[in-house]
Amino acid sequence: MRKLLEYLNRPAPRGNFFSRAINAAPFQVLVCLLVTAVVVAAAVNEYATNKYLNVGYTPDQPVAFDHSFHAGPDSVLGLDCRYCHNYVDKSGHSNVPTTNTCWNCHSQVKTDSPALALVKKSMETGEAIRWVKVHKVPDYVYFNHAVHVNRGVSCVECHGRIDQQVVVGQQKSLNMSFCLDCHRNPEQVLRPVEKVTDLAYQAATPAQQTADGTKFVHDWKVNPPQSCSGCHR
Amino acid sequence: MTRYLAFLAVAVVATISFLGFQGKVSKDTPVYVFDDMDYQNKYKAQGENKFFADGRDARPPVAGTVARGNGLEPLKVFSADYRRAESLNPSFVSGKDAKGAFLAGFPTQSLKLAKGQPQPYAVDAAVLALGQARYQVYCAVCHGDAADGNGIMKVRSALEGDVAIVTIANLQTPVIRAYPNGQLYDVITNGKNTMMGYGDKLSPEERWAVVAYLRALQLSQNCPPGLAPAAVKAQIK
Repeated sequence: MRKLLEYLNRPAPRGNFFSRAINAAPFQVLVCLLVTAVVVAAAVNEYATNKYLNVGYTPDQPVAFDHSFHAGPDSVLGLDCRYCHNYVDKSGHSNVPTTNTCWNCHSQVKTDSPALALVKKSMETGEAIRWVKVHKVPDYVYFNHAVHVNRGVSCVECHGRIDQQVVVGQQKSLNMSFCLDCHRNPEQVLRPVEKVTDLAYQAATPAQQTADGTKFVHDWKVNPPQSCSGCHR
Repeated sequence: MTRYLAFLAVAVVATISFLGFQGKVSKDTPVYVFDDMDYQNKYKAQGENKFFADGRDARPPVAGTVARGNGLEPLKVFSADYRRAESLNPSFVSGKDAKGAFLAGFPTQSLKLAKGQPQPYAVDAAVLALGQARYQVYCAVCHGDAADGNGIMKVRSALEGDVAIVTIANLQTPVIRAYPNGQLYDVITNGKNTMMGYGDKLSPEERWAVVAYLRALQLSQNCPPGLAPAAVKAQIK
């Protein structure tokens, strides 16, 4: 490289309008452009997708509900996801629980806790608690929860280990290639339907997962759409 | 060239120290560089709506509204010969007979219609399996896996000194065992004492399935010797 630059920069013979240094210019410009292109590509790859823009979004909620205490077999209470998100297997929309659902227990447990003041107020006035939505897909994406959880796609595939989170944050990118990864290889994620809300479940081995998944794909006639209209309309 | 590359290196370091890496935990609302039509002005499930006083997209139904949905097709619903299964078989939804008394057993007809008539309803293994699944999600929290009232709620309220320790019912008591099925269904639907209703969470089919499973649990704890399997009978002797 040094020799190349020395050669290109060798003194100009008399009478040349441009110095010899100009000979190096195209080479230098090329190197700078290449390095810049690599840096820009790396930056776009790192920052311009959901993996940076959305993953890690962990807003404060109006009520500091702790999933790791309430939900999942390893938690203190061991509630099933569906105790609160009760329409997840019946409706396309997985509901944020009504205040009534909180009140099923908290009318009698920890009734005077300041953490529950807003729940109490909501119960008395009927005013909604303004929970902050964390997991969003664009409005032209029609994701149906019921279709997925009734066909052995676990909550954990899109939401991660919510049962270990104190404050819920987005853990998966939820972009289109994320959807298509599963839609192209459903056998890698399908599990027995009764294990859908067991977020810790894993097949014994990856080979076992493929074998089980392939069986489920066949038995349940799973045929995930890969056409545009499968999810967009 | 060296100067430019040095500048670029500084820019890269500055960017990384400012923006961090993927997966950075942040409370800030995600930025959409090109938001295209990601956010549309339309009513969404449980969405926020500043137009209405209560701030909700969801509107409470007007008095007298007839429930639709659950897969019913509008063309069918508005045809002249359409009958709602619920109106043909109200006992299945209310748990009460025509005179308003609780059904002693299970309803004889389901909400499934064939040729406009409700089909027979029978408790079978599938119904019990559904009941078990729903019981363990929605009921066992308080009433316990064996319906003896020793769910996690009782344990926690014992630790916390909360009143739930006395209010959670043991479903194995003679009083509750003597309830007609319709009354159990009614309690699930509308609640009782400190228990709130689960009619919004469980469909009528699911509620009857839970009643059936609860009966099975009660039988399991009070099984007459004659009904026990042969292996158990041998142990008793």
